Amino acid sequence: MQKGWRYYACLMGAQLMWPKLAIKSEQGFFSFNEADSESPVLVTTDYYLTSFRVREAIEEQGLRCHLLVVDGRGINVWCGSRGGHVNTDSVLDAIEQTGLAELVTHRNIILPQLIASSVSKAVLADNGWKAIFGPVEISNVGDFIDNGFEKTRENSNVYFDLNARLENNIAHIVFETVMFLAMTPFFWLLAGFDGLLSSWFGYWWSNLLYIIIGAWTLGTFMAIVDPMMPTTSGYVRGLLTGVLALIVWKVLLLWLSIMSPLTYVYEPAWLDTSGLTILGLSLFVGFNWGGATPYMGEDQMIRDILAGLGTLVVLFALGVYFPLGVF
Amino acid sequence: MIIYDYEACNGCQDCLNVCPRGVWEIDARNKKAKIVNPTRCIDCTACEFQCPVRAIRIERALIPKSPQIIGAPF
Repeated sequence: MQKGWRYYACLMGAQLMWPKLAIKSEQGFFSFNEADSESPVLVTTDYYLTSFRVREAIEEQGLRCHLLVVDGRGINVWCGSRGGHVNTDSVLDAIEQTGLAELVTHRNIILPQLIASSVSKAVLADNGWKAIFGPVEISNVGDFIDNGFEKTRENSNVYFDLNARLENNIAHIVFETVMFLAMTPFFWLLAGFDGLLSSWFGYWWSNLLYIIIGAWTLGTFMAIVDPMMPTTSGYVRGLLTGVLALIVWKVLLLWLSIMSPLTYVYEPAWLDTSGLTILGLSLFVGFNWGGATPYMGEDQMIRDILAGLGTLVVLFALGVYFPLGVF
Repeated sequence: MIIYDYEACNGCQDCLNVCPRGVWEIDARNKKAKIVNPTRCIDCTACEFQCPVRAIRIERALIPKSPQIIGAPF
């Protein structure tokens, strides 16, 4: 299938900037490969990337099936389901609006497994439809249909392989870049004050490019080493990566200073301006990355935010009270 | 944190089918679901929402807690 601008805008996480920017695909009933009234019906939501991937998989596998695209407010299936943006009513509305009961002779619909947090099998059964939860990945749906709507345990589990992580990282780094650019006017306003606050804008503006490149590097690093991290916590990942980045940075400065003593750049205090920036930036990227992975629970997220805010306040205080660096 | 009513479970396996993290497994002897990977749970509440006999409840706890199982013979 032809990948147009919508596909790449989704990859870059357009919807993360502003929910209204979420790119939707056409809702309704679609048939593939000369599907007839006995062919299975797959269900998905109207987020463009989701719908595109489902159509692509159906065409690649040559499945004779129908596709019912329901109103999910342009959000992917899992987030839409857990956030309550798609529910049993959305599916029932789509069934009614497309007149599905007249188009197929059976009463089975294959729902995506990750919609299970908000679409009730029991309520659909009360309305005369047998809902079957399919595999997590659409690439396994062909085997699922061939096996008489049975899936293996592996196909019920969410995996986050390197390709998915790198793809996710694109949206992640675009989002962070936009956030840093959006924060610039705030620092510019601070420049109007006297004293310490006025110097922040100068620091921010002269280092903005390095901060953005730093966030890209840290984000990409976290995406690659993700399975090696000892915990699912975004806070711990951010802290570990930050300490590692700080060591690399200080060793680099020391090496540069030894190689050319005339341009001596090594600072004995590790938590100086650059050190604190690296740690703070890594924590920030760690939160975002942790939330982008499929293994972080909501209670873990709250713990991370509390611990992270506490640490950022400590780093901030160290920066204010020890402008020349500490430790 | 998972609160699971073992006695109420009717062994339909809906929780196994919807869990994206492999938290549940079926106990072949008693034909009831059992929790095998509690730490992998991400509180997505899919099992809670689908359970036809309402044997599962997910509660978000600030401090992690191990699952509470009601009425288990072990």
